[in-house]
Amino acid sequence: MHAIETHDLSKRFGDVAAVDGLDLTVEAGTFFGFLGPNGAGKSTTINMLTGLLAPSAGTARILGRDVVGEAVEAKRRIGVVPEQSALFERLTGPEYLRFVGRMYSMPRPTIDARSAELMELMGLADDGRKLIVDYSHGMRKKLSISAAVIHEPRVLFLDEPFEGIDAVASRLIRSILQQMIASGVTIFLTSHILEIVEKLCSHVAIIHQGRLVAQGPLEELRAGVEGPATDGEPRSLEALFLSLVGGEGTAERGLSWLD
Amino acid sequence: MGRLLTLIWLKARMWRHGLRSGTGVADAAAGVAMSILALLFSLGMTAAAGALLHYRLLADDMDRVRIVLLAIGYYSALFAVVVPVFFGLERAGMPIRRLAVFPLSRGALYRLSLFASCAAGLHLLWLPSLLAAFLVAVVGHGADPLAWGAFLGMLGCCLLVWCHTALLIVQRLTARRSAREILAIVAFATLMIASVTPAAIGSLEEETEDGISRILEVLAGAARAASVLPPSLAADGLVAAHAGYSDALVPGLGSLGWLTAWTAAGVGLGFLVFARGLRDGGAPPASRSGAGAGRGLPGVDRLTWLPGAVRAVAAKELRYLLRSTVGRFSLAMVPVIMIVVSLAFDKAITTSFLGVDPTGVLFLGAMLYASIFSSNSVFNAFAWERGGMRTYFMFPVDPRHVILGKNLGMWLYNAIIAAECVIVFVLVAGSPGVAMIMSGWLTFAAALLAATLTGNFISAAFPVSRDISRVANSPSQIGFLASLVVLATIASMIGGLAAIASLTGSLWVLPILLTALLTAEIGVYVALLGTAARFLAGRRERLVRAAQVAL
Ligand SMILES: Nc1ncnc2c1ncn2[C@@H]1O[C@H](COP(=O)(O)OP(=O)(O)OP(=O)(O)O)[C@@H](O)[C@H]1O
Ligand SMILES: [Mg+2]
Repeated sequence: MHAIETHDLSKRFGDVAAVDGLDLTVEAGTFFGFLGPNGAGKSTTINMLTGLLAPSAGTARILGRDVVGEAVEAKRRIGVVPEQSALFERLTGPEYLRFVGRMYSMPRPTIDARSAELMELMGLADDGRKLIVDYSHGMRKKLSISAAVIHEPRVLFLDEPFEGIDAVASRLIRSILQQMIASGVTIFLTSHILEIVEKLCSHVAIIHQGRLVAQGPLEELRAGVEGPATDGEPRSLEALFLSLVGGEGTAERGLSWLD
Repeated sequence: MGRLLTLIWLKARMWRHGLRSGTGVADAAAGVAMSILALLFSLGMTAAAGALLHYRLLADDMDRVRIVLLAIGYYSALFAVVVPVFFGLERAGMPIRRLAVFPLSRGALYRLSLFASCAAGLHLLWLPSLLAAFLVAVVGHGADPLAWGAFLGMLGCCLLVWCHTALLIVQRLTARRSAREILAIVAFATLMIASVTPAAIGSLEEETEDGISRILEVLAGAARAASVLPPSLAADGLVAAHAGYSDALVPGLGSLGWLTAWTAAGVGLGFLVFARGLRDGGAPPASRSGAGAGRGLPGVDRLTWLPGAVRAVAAKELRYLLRSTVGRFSLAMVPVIMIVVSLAFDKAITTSFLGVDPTGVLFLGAMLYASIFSSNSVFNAFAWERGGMRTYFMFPVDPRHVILGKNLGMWLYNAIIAAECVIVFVLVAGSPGVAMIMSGWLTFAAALLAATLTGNFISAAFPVSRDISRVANSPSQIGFLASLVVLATIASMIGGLAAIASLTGSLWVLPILLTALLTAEIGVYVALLGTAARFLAGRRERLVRAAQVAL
């Protein structure tokens, strides 16, 4: 059974096709990187896979469950860190985690124990009585990640989890994610930080203007690019990315009034 | 000036973009309908003010002229200051706080905020009455335009300024106190008032006249006591100036001076509060961290027989209401209203209504009225969710549980309000009897449930994002209209039941009939829950987007 499987998945906003006929397969236990330039349709795809958006056409299955027809069953097995916050800002961190735990019907003692452990691990324990409005950007991100893993999801969706995170926290989160992969969790990650994707992901897909332009194991994709091999490394993910989305030559452009 | 125009342009643009969707158009139409209703009301009040003043001036009865002027002044104050503050009806909604990133001085920001508040449509409910008074006196009766213009104009400015300042103050005060502190203050104040009430009411007991003139007398008495308030200053000053006695100049100028001082004080205080708010970066500190955070909510936690998701949402909802400015403010304001109502009208209403004794009528009316306070949270239930809106659709929960949880949290909050009402009323006005107290509770519950039934659909259909730290927290235009319709419907139903009950002559018939009404409503609620849930789930994209709108 595939962890994630989409068939002809599409989403239109008026005339714009944000996602256009996406056929994606992610095997269970893979660390999957989903890449693409701004506005390519990554978040839209994640929102459809996690039930926040209804697809305009096509189907998607998570661990064999249809995301539309068996939405509740599918959602029980996934964790999500959405691109924009899904936090209730007038709760404290522990209150929010308790809220989340209950939404997944977890027993109270488990919620309390895990919530305490997560707050401790993320370095948020001292801010337990602070309302989330007063959290810094990075603190919110850490809390979002805590909320996404508290119920032991089998598939984890992360939309830009490293955005605005310091180096220490980034390291910590990476090690948590690797621990999850080791325990058989599937992770679906979008990130613009290609070095991190290169370090973490075993498979990647690249989407451009709503269409899939590449999909496969990272090594195979890198081997297939014609690009300048820098510093003796094979071909970098960046070169692959630029060649696929047509971003070469952007370095020469600039603002007219600064010339 | 350029900035002001930019702001107006911004507002117009935002309004036009709001019209892009079908619901936006529907809501705008409801807004127009409401404006027409309000305009009709305003025209009626303006005509009444003009006519009354005309006849009193014709009779040259300065005592009565003064009373009419007082009535116009206090009516204006009611709609300029009291109503916006009590109901959070300020609709100006200009994003002043967000302008703080631009190179504008605090003074400029304050002026923009004041302007936005003055431009609120609500002021059209009372400004025309002042204008009518001016025109009747000056054009109709050849009064001195300078004196009338000065007094009425200054009164108008004063009220506009205080509307703005009062909202700023209330917002700051309620945000700085936790719900517990507010309840403690209210309890203390109620006990103080209750302990002096018997004496106060005893002194009014002597004469018995018909209801209306009693009310007028009570009002006039209150006005005498309040002669330092702007409407009284304006009325007294005008009467003195109008009489044209040579020795009227000093008291007249004195009144005008005081009136100007009130206005200046309003500006000064408003600026101070506004500047402090800016310094704290928006929401005042206590509303943000600390106050009450982290305490358990035993009430919700104990309902273990409910599904976890229902409890989770209910606990979140109750916390939000108790941490919101509106929620705290209602906790403080509802008892004040109960005290005012019971003191001002208790002895004034001597005739029984439909066979029910006056205290009972008053009590039922007050309970029905108090249920209005729920309309903010019922008809725009997703006002404060922001990003949290996503969680309802991200997590594996039945949308029925989301609705049930939200309703439950709101009912628990309203149970606190209803309890406050009953306790305050009994302490201040005396017990209306066990049967009546039950009827009062049932009335409150019936009104609330009727609102909830409708609100579950309206909230999902017309969501408007609101700032949790503001007193102004109005639903969409349609939501507001719906709240009026629901209240009117439920009030007439309860009135009908009271009439039927009075025919039987037994006190216990009314609570029984009300229980039947409530049971029927519960049936409808249960029957509609699934439909409401499907509706909610179907609108998730819009809801997430609407909740996201930053203010
Ligand atoms: N609710 C919406 N209404 C209309 N258009 C939308 C909506 N949401 C997304 N879009 C459009 O869909 C396209 C894809 O957006 P999406 O957010 O999926 O991009 P993304 O790949 O996540 O980009 P980024 O890397 O910048 O986050 C964009 O053109 C965007 O404007
Ligand atoms: Mg995105």
